[in-house]
Amino acid sequence: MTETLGLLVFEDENDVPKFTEDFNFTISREGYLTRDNEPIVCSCCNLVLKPKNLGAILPGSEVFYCADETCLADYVSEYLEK
Amino acid sequence: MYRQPLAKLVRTFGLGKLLHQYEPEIEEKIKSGISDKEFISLINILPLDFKGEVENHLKDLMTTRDKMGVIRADMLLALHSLVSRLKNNEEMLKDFKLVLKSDHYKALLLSTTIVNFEDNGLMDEARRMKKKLESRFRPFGNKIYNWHRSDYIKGYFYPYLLYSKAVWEKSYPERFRRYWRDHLGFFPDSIWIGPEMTEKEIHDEITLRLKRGRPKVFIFGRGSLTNMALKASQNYIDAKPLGKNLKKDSYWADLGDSSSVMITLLVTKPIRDQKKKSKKRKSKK
Ligand SMILES: [Zn+2]
Repeated sequence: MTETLGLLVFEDENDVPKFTEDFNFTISREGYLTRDNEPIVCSCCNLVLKPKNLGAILPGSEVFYCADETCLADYVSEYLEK
Repeated sequence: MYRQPLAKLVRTFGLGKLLHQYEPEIEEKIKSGISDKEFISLINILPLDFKGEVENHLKDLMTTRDKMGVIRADMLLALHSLVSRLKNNEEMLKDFKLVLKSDHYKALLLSTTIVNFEDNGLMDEARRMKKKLESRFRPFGNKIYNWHRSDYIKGYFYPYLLYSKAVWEKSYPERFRRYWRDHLGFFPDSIWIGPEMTEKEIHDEITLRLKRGRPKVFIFGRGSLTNMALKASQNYIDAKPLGKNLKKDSYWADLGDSSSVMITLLVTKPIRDQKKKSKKRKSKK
């Protein structure tokens, strides 16, 4: 079975504030992505995320990844294969 | 929980920024006759060419917010390649996933992507990702890439995996993992030349394999290391005592913007190493 996933493509950190609300996070004064006052980290490497190093938010919006392609392998193997 | 409908996201970015489809039939349509790189730029203008279909998908997507995400533009090529590799080698990768440690499996998945980039001439992307693979999955990432590049994953490990599954049934994952781990420590038939290797180290690696009774030794060199591979193996034959028992053969392959060489050193006369063996026995006592 194939599943259709929509991925909006954003260009760079300047686009990030445009979708904070939709994915239910905020950008703290120190410049970190936070949810319920907790910093959001890359699901794979635990890097604390800022708009600059945000790579992807996966469908469902609970899973965040940094902008490192090796972390995307984690995404593909953990989520897409199911 | 979500204060805004996802439709707002689409409005913010516009249709033009949408969207990545994993539906094979659409992907095939787009991809027929174009390279991966062009495919990526086409994703962004997808709605222009496939308006009807995309709008239907959009409706679906917007009503099920679990299916919507965002990705930074420069990650899209890697994602697409990872996904398409997975699809093209689904059965094999699934089998590996069942037995390998998670990090080893991820390194394998990334390796298939790097090889895919190289085969499609996307050499910059391949180099960048290879660097990350090496630093992230040290010390095994590069080895797994080498195995993949030299077709050992498909032609060597996978047959063994299937074999172990058939023979050992329940205990096969453990046994296969051991086999994989042993090979990461020492690959009996082959040497991949790395940029940090000296000629002496290459010679030592050859000697080690010959003394263990291997009937042949393969030496792989890529890009700037092809000359090193050729020179070191020729010097071994010309100058080393065991060299006179060997016959050399070379096979060249093109790899995107660089070439690679596989050298076979074939043992033509049996090599014995009694001296060392008896020494070892003594020291054990
Ligand atoms: Zn990460």
